[in-house]
Amino acid sequence: MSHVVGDEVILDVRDVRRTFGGVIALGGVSFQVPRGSITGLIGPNGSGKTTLVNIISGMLRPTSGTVMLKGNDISGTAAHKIARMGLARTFQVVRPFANMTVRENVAVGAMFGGANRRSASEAMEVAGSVLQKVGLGARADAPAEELAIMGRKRLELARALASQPEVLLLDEVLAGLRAGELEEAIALVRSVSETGVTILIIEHVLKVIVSLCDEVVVINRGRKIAEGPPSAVMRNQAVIDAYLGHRAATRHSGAADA
Amino acid sequence: MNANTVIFAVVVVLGLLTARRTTVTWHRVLPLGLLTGILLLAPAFSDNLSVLTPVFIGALLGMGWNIIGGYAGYGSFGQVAFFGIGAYAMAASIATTENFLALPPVAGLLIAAAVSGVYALLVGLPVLRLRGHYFAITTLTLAIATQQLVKNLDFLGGASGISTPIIRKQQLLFAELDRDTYFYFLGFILTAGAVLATWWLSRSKFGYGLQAIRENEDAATSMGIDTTRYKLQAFIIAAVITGVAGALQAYLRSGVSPEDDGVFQIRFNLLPLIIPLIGGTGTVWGPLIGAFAFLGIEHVLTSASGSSTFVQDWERVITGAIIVAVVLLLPRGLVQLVGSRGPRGWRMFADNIRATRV
Repeated sequence: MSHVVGDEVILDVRDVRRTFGGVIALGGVSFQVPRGSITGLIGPNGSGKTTLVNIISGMLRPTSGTVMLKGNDISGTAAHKIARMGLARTFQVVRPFANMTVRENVAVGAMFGGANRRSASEAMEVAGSVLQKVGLGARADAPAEELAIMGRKRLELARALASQPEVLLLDEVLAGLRAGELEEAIALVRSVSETGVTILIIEHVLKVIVSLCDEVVVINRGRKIAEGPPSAVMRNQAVIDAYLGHRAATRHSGAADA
Repeated sequence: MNANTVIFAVVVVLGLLTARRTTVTWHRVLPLGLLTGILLLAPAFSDNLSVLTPVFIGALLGMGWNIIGGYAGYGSFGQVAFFGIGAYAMAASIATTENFLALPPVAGLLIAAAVSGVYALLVGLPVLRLRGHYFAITTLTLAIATQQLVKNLDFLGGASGISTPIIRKQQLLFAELDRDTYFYFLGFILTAGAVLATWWLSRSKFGYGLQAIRENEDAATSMGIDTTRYKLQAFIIAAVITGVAGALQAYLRSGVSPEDDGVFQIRFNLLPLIIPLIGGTGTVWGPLIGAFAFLGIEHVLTSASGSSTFVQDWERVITGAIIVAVVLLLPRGLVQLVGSRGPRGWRMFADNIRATRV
């Protein structure tokens, strides 16, 4: 494996609970993400994955529990402050700034994310090089609304990368891609990881989790039911029952061992 | 066709050429130079300069709204509140009657800008927590509430308002000008300042932040934009420009009235919306183009209604039909005519209708 996983815990989720009215979306979830790792977060629909991402990124407050980023308690901190501390995210439903150009979209990420130090003109240059990296260089001056779905996903990733994050939350960026596109996208995520960025990836596509992640956390109905290396987690009976179905588990653990 | 009609038309055309998307610098600098020249020389060949000064007030109203509505995407329906506040601050500053300040007009303008800005800060804190329709309705209520509040404040003249001295001659920079020329150039200078401010904003980090908020507020905040602060700053800048427009109105009309035909009249709540809509929201030149286009059409209709009873009877209907036509055919405003994207000519209109049809 070409990326380096350190001992330091960069993101530490501690007993996070979140309720909406009487509904318990998260019933106390804890896990740790080591610096430099690619950690997967999986679970069936409605298991609370996106709620968790929204809490980590500051879009939602936890009802109780804490989230630590680089040793600082960020639970309840405003989203824009968390972004400036070096955490970037993508959205499951992509949210391009449709009436701005592709380059401007990415430049906004470069301007405000990270330390919030770049001027507009510096950010435009950073945006150009990030767009090359994700393969959107040729579309830089097109309006973002003209991009097709794969382009929009690349753009979503480029915006997050332009802020030069230390931690990147990818909320189902690979869902809906065709086989060829998927290979490309996986390579892209790997190359991001190789630059030292810690990645927490939320996915439905199991192939991705197995081939990409160092660690996997599985949640179901708002609770963690398993964690560990992908191959072990895929064989875990609770995971199979809750999420995979027996056949899929056999197939994917086989793939992981090969 | 009178000289003013020609001025309206020429300014609209030159404004559009200046707003054109092009990489060749002189393609924009040349029309900008001509535009500035026409506006500076207009007093020499206008048949009635007092028709043109209100266009600058309209342009300022449009540019004020454009900051919060066009760039940040928070369409305010209550800009007349800041127009009225600015007008009252100006009137109270320069009125020479008892209890008022009798200050010079420059001080009045600065006070009007400051008071409008502070008022926006106070009301913006709660109001900007709302999004979409809730924001729109609340700002509309703000307009009504502000009028009633001002009407009931005795130190602002209560129901009778404030009268200020009538200006016949006035010193502006280095020259003493007659009334019409003075107000024309005062309007020109303030409008030029607002255009410059918008131009700076459109290229700044602040401007990109506002556009990101307009496009998707959740994405904007997760990318590190302090959306609360940016929205409040935009709301304040919008209010300051609108307040200055109100100050010019009070100064020009020698006072303010809180009644429905005074500075809080519905016209001054609609112009800030209609003008950028016609010219192009979220653009530097849209509001200026929109002001000369829309008020130019009003001018043509008013001129024609002297000789035609049909125009006289149907003036409002014709104006309304033109607004509807622009919204349907050019939803991005007149500047869409010179945009670089999408199809040209009739296909552009057809596509726009298809896109906006329900």
